[in-house]
Amino acid sequence: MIRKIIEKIGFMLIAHSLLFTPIVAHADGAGGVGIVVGGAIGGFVVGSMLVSMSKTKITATKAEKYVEGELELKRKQDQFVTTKTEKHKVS
Amino acid sequence: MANISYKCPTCGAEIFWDASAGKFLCKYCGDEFTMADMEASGQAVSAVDSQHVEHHEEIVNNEYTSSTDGTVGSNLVKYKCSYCGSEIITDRATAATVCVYCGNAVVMGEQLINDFAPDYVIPFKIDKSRVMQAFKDFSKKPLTPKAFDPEKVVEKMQGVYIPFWLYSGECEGCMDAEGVNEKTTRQGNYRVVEKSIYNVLREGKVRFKNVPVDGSSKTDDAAMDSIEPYDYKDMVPFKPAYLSGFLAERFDEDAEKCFERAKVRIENTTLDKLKASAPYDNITVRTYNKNIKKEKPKYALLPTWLLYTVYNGEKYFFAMNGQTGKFIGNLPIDKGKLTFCSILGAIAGAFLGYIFLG
Repeated sequence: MIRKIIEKIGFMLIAHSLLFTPIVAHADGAGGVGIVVGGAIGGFVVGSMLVSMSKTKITATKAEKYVEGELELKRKQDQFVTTKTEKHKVS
Repeated sequence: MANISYKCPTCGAEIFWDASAGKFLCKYCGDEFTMADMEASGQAVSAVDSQHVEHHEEIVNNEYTSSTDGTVGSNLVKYKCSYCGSEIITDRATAATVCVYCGNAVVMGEQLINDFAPDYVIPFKIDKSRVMQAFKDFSKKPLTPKAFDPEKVVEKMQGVYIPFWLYSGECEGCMDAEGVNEKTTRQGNYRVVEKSIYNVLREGKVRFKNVPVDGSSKTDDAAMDSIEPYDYKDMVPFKPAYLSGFLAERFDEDAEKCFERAKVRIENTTLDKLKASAPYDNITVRTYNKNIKKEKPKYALLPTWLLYTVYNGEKYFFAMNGQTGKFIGNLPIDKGKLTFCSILGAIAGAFLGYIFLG
């Protein structure tokens, strides 16, 4: 029980620092934003990639290996509705 | 008549199907026999004589609480070995096993007749000697603990014919969606995104052949999904002789119940095909109507190696496709290695972040 609480607090602290350190650094105009963001993403990507190599049991949700032939289209309709434009200022 | 087992036409010893040779192999005299040879010797390799099968006996008063042949399951029944007369305690759904006392291969005829008669079988192609090597190769992952020794952790390894339902048919789908094409340009200090929005309608059908779903309640569904695909070019009409020397189960979940799992997969893939036919940058499905017309499902026994292991008091289950050799399972993870590798990844990420954003 106590171990689980400590684990949860640990994850909350990590999540808090991962999210807020870059924001605070950015607001302060500090140059380390790239390091913090890159570090967090790098650690997460490598960790997830290695874990997925050890876990190969997954529930199938698709049947693409069992498709015979091609999709036989009966009806196809593409109707233009509108155009929307968004402008974003580049910093 | 007793349960079905096979004898060497040369020396009369028990004879088993050899997965790697694709023949019957006598371990005593070394002779090999094809299915045709066995048939010519007068043995019932092709079909089960439904009039003369031995039926199981019920277990009374909790006489036995676990199987003698290692099968998993709590609904036990009793058979008699046709060779040595010993009692074989096994799960009610077992269709073939090996007598633990004399090593005789026993095929339970009653589990292979009438509604339980399989249409097809894919014979084992990978024998036991290759399974351990494959497990060793599979366990060589970066996060596997050093102390996880494949030779020591395997508690039980079984070659099992798992019952599968194979569904064929076609799925008609009609998708109503919103398609968006985006074009980004730069105007001075602004990035301008122009989104062209379309109403998209696609209606079509996709044909499916032999979508497999295991019909055993005792087998881990995700594990069976993960060892796919089987190569159906090796699928042959069912003959009980293929089961000799292996365990086999008959289905205990019927075709209608198992279809729900196939249905989800078929519908998802049909939707993917419909989406792929609409060339937009983004597509959001508003409604999707689908209807599957299925043919009579086929019932097949497909070869699987199952490995039960224990490491640090935890149980781990692995499975291997007995035809293609595909190995799956969730290996234990060394938390120290995970932390170390994540820190290395973080350092590399920080370095790249410093170069590109710093």
